[in-house]
Amino acid sequence: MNLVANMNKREKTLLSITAIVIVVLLNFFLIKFFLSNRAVLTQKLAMTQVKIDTLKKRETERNLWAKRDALLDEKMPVLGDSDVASKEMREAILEIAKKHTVTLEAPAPGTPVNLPGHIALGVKFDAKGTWDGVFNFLLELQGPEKFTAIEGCEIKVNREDKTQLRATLTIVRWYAPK
Amino acid sequence: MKQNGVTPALLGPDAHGWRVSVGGAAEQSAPTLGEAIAALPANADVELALPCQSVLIERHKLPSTDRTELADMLQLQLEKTLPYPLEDVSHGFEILSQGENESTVITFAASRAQLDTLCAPMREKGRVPVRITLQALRVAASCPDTGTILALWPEQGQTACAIVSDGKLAWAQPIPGLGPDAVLGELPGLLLSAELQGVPADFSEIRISEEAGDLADGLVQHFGIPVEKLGALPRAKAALDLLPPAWQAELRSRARGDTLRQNLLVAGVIWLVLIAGAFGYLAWLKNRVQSVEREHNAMKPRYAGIEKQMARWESLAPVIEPKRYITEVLHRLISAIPEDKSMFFTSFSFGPREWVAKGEGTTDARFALVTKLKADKELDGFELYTPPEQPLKDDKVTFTVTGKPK
Repeated sequence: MNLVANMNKREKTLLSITAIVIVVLLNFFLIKFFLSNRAVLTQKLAMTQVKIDTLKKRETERNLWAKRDALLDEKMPVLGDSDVASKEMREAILEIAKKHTVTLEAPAPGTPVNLPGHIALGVKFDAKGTWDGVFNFLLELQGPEKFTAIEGCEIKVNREDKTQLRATLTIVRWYAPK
Repeated sequence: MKQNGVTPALLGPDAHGWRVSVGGAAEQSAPTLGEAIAALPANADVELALPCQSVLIERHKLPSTDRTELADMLQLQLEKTLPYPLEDVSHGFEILSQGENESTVITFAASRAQLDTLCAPMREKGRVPVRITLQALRVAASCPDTGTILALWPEQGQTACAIVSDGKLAWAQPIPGLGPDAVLGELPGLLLSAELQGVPADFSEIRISEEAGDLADGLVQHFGIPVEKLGALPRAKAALDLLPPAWQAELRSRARGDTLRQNLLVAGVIWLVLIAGAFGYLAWLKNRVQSVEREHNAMKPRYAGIEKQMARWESLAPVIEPKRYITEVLHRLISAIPEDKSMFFTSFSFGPREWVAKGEGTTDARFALVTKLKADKELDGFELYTPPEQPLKDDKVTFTVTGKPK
């Protein structure tokens, strides 16, 4: 206290300014700390609450998911001899292509690939056909119980005849894991 | 008696030193002013009553009844009569009586140098009196409002003698010494000189302090009127304040400082409460988050089976969810082409993790296509990305639309 009393006016002004700056900075950091922590905690609380609500909602869907799982167990094909399976798949695809007047060239069969949740066995083709033909061919290839995925498809419109398409297709059938 | 947290204290001379009275409590004596100050609480507002010997007291008859005019006239009068320059003196006056065009006033003047010396022990301790008055004025305030009273009391080795007329201090002088011989020897001469100055001297009563009790017999013999005891001295009724302006400024500054300190203290307390509240709120929020997380963790095992079934379904979605089929995506893209056919697709690539459609057309057509695709509920399983268009000739652009499973 005596130290302050012995100060002249300029020293007191300087001391006041310093004190104000320190108080303002301290408040700034405290407010920033409070707001950022509050935001993080509030977000965490909201997210966890949403997760809890989602889990509670799952309870009402328990039967649905059990049925779906049973359906997959029942319908998902099991891979036996991969060469036979590959040949059968190629023949089936060629038949569908023929039905929709789509020309398939350069078939390149793949080997079975073990992936999490399924085994993928694919074949690659170059396809040519009309818009409608290619579309209907693809439409027939896929279906809920066919377990067929189009893993790579590059479709290009023929610049000279825009009714014709050229496509490079990788058609893959998914089997149940062993 | 405290007022706004401040204790009023009176500090006046006694027979051999100083007497302190704090908040109306019993008086305490101290040999020096320094010791008297030490007896005061830190928050006391001190009114200092000076002894007669420290103040020059004069009576004046002036040709005015206006207080402002009287103050100006006294300024001139005091410049002539005082032994110090007027700027080195703290002075004040009281109007004793007023006629039609004239007033009788009593002036009080104290040398600032003398006040500095007298109050040095007080100011060294950072204390400034809130008011400086005269002990004789306190004595006058204790006397009745009618009649002429002669009052005697000891002040720091001298005897103060005052004439109080109708409750106002009309005259006061110190008499060197304390004993009856010293006082009764000097008193007649002093009273005669007072009478010559026009001070009423037909006393209705004599009052002496308890310490001056040995004067009582001599006074009764000399004046032939009863001698009463002076009671407890109240505050001076007169508005006189001999506090130098610089001290007043110091006092104001001190008061401002005290107010500022108090306000800062209150602000500090409020700030601390707010900070504590804010941290308390954060602690509560954290606790709540932990409690909700515990609840979530406790629930998770019950739903682990469903989560696994959902994950399996999701991983097989490209082959079992019609919305994820290439034909469905193509159908949605073709359906979104504007009716005016102002655009067309040039290429389309499709994979389980992404599909990309490229096209050409007008900016409006591209905008219409993208808007329609984004609004398409059948594509809500995909997150759509539309990077900026690339300009071509004839106001046309090439564009890309990418869809990624959510």
